[in-house]
Amino acid sequence: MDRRRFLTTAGAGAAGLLTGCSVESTDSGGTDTDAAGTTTDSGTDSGTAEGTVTGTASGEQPTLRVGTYGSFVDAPSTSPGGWLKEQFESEFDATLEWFAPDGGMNYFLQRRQQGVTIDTDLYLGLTPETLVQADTATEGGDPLFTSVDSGALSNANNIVDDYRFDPQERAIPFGASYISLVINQNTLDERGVSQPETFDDLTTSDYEDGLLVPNPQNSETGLEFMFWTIDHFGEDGYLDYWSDLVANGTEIVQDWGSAYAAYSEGEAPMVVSYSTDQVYADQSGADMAEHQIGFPNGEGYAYLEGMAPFAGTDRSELAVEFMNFVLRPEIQAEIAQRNVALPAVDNADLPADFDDLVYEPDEIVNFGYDDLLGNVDGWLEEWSQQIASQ
Amino acid sequence: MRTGRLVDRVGVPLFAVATLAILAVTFFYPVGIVLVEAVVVDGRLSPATILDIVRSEFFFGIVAAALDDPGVLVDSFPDYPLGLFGFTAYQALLSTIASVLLGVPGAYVLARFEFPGRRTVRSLTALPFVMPSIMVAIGFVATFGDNGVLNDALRALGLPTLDLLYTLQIIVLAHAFYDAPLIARITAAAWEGVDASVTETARSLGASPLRAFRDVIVPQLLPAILTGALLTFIFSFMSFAIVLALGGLELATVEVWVYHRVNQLDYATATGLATLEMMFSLALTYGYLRYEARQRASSATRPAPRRDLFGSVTPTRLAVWAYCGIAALIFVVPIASMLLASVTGPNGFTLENYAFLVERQADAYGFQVKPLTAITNSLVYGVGSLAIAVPMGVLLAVISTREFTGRKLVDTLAMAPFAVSGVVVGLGLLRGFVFGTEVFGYRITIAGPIAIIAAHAVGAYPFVTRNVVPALAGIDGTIVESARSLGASRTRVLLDIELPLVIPGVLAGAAFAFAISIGEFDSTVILATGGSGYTMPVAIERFIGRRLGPATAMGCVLLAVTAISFVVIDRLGEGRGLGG
Repeated sequence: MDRRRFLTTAGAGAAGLLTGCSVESTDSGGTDTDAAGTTTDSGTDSGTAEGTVTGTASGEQPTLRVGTYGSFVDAPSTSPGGWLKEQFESEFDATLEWFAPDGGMNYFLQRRQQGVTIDTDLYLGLTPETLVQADTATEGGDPLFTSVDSGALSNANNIVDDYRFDPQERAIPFGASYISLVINQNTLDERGVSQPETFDDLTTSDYEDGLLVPNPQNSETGLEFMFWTIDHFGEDGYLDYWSDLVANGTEIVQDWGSAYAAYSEGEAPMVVSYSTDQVYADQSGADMAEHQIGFPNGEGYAYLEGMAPFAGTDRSELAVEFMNFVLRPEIQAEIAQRNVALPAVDNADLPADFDDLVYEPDEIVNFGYDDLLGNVDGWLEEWSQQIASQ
Repeated sequence: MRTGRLVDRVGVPLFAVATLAILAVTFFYPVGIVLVEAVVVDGRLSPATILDIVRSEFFFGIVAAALDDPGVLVDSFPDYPLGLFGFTAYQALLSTIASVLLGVPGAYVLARFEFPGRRTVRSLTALPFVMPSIMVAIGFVATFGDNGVLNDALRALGLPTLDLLYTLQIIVLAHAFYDAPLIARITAAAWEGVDASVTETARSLGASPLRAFRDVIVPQLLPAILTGALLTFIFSFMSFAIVLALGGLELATVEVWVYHRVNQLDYATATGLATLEMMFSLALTYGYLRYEARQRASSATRPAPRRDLFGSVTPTRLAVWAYCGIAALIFVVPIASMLLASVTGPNGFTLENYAFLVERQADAYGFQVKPLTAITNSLVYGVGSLAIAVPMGVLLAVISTREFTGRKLVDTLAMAPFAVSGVVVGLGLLRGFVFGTEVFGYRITIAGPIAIIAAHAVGAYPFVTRNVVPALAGIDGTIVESARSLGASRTRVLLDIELPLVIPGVLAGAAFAFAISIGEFDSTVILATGGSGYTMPVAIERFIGRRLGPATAMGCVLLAVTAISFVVIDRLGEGRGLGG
C-alpha cells in the first residue's frame, strides 16, 4: 500500500507537464519502485491519470495489479478485461487493475533483468514458450513466477488435462484455442481444388502461392505453427518442409495482423490463424465460405494460456482468490466467449451457437514445457536464417 | 545593441548547451546504455560480438567468406552472396534510386507549375510519413495486390496482371511512397530558390534549354536532391515493419534481425547489429556532409515564373501529366483504398467502422484506448515536438554553417537519431526512462508527455537541420556583412535577415518534423505504457482485428487530422509573409 499511496501524493504534487516522472528512494526495502509512475484505472479520464493511482483513495481496498496482453483488455471486437474487472470487484472488496505493456511478458522479464522490481501481482496470458523463456532468462536466480496451492482452486480438478503445460504447476491454464488454417473456399473453387488435407498438400502446385503465415519471430501464432511443423516432421525434417513451402510461394509476413489483412484482401486463399474464426465472421455477417477451418492431417495445435502469480507479490491471497474466480465454470464460459476462445475447464457451459462456430481438431498437438526447454531459440534461429537466405 | 551583444555572447551558447543537454539525456544516454552491450563481453571491453557478426556469412555474405578465405572471391565470381547487410544496402540503394526518380519530377511540378490547389498539394507531401506500416500495407495490398486496383485495371484492358506483392519491387515502391515526397519537397524548395536571371543569362549566351538546365539548374539542385537521397537511403536501410508486411521474411533486412534478437533477449547480437548499422549510416552521413560543405547555392532574388499545368498540349505538359498519373497511382490510390476500406463492410457501404470509433469514445473503460484522447495527445505531442525540434534544428543548422574545428563531426553526430536503430532507441528508453536510472540511491523514472515530446523532438529535428543547412549556406555573405557593419548583432542578423531567407526550408523541415511526431510508434508505445498518453498510431494498432474496418477508420482519422494540421502549419508560415 505504501508505494501506491506515496505515488498518489507525488503525482498530485507534480501535476502539469511533469506528470509521469518520479523520484523514489531505493533504500526503503527495495520493492517499492513503480513501473513508470503511470497506472490507470477504470473511471479515470484521459490525460490526467499519469503519476497518480486512483481508485485506491479509500485506502482500505487492496489493489490487485494483473499483467496481461493487449487484446485481452482492449480488442476491437470483444475482450473479457472490462467485464472480468467489474465482476471481480462486485464480489470482492478489492480493485482489479489491468496492466498491458507493449511487449507482454518480455516487459516483465526485462524489468527483472535490469534489476527493477516487477510491481505486478499476477500475469494472465502465459504460453508454454513464454514460461520457458522466463525460466531460461532467470536461470540461477529467483524465478519470475511462483505456484499456488491447487487445493485452493476449487475448480482445478476440471481443468482439461491436455491443457496443462507447466510441470511445476505455477501456470494454471485459463483458456485455449486451436491454431488452424483459415481457408477461403471461394478462391479454391475458382482454382478448382478442394481444401488441403495434409501438410504435404500445402507444398503441391494446387496450393501454389496459397498460404500466408504470421512471422514466428514476431507472432506467437506463427511460432506455434512452426512448432506444429516440428512436431509433424521432426527436428530434422521441418526445415526441408519449410524449404518446400516457401518454394511453393508460402509467404511469412510481419505479424498476425498484416497476414490476416492480406488474406482478407484476397491475396492468398489460406492463412494461419485460429479455429474460432467463424465466431468473428458470424458477428460481422461475412460469407462463411471465406472462413473455412482447416486442420491438416486432422491435427490442431493447442494455443494454451495460463496465469501465475509473480514471485514476490505482496497480494498472494488476493491473487489466489482471483485465480479461483477465473476458473469458476460460469466465469470460464464468459471469458471464453468474450475472448473468442475455449474454456480451460470441462464444466463450463457454452451456448450452442458459440459451440457450433468453434471447431476442434481430431488430434490435439502441443509442445509442453519439457519439449520446449532449451530448444526454442535454436529452432527459431535456424528456421529464420534459412528463410531469410532463401 | 548592448542587449544584442549579451544575447550573442550568452544566448546562443546557452541555447546550444540546452540543445546538447536534451540530446544527451533523451538520446545519447539511453542509446549508450544499450549499445555498450555490443562491445562488452562478460564485463570486459571486447570486439568479439562485432567480429562474430562480421565473420558470419549469413550477415555479411561474401565479405565474411573472403575474410576466412580470400580465394572465394575468385572461385564464386561473380555470384557473390550478399548476406543480410549486403541485401539491406542493396534494397536501400534501389529504394533511393526509385525515390529520386519519382521525387525530382514532383519537385519540378511543385516548383515550376501553377495549378489549383498547388499549395495544398505541397502541404500534403509529408502525409505518407505519418502512415503506420500496417496502413500502408493495407493500402498497397488493395492497390497492387492480386485483386488490387492496378491488376483489376490491367484485367479490364485485357493485359497480363502483375504479381507484385512479396517481391523486392513492392518494397522499393513502398519506400518510395514514404520517401519520394520528402525528396520532392526538399528539392522543390531549392528549385524555387533558383534565380531566373541565371538561366536567362545562360540562354542569352546561346545555351539550349537542356544545356541551361544541366549546367545551371542541376548544380543548384544537387545538394537538395542528395540530402533527400541520403535520408531516403538511411530510412530504407533501417526499414523493418513495412519490409516484413509487404515483402515477407525472405526479404528480411538487418533491422528485422535486431528486433528478432531483442525478442529472444539476445542483446549482444542485437546491439552488435545495431552498432554496425549505425556506423554504416554515420559514415555515409559524414561523407555526404563533406560534399555538402563544398556546395554554395545562391538564393533567389527573382524566382522564375510558374507555368500553368493545364492548357494546350505540349510535349512538356504531356510528360508532366503522365508523371502526375503515375504519382496518383502510387500515392493517391493506396490512400484512397484505405478510405474505401474504412467505409466497406461484408455487405457493401457502411459507416459502422466510424460508429465503432464513436462508441469507443463513449463507452470504453478507462484502461482502453479512446479515439479522441489519441487525437488530442497526438496533436499536443506534435506541437510540443515542433516547439523543441524547430529551434534545435535551426540552431544546429547555424552551427553547421559556421567554420570551426570538428564541425563535420558535430554535424554527423547531430544526424545520429536517424542512424540508430529504432529498436535500440526503444530499448534504451525502456531501460533508462521507464525502468528508471539510479542516481545516489534514488531511482528516477521518466514517462508520460514530457518524455514522449522529448523523444519525438529528438527524432524530428534532423529534418529541420537538413532542410535549413543548404539554404543557410546559400545566403549571400555580403548581406550579412553589411548588416553587421551597420551595427546589427549576430543574433539580430540571424533573426531578421537569415531566417526569413530560409523560411521555405524551415517550413519543409517543420512539416516533416511534425509528421515524424504524429507517426512515431515505437518510443511512444514504450513511454506511454500503462498510461493514457497513447497516440493515433497506437490506437490504430489496438484496433487491428479480424475486420480491417476499425483500424482503417482510425487510420483515416489520422490522415484527416494530420492533413489539416499540415495545411495549417504551411498557411501559418505563409501568413507571416514568410512562405514561398
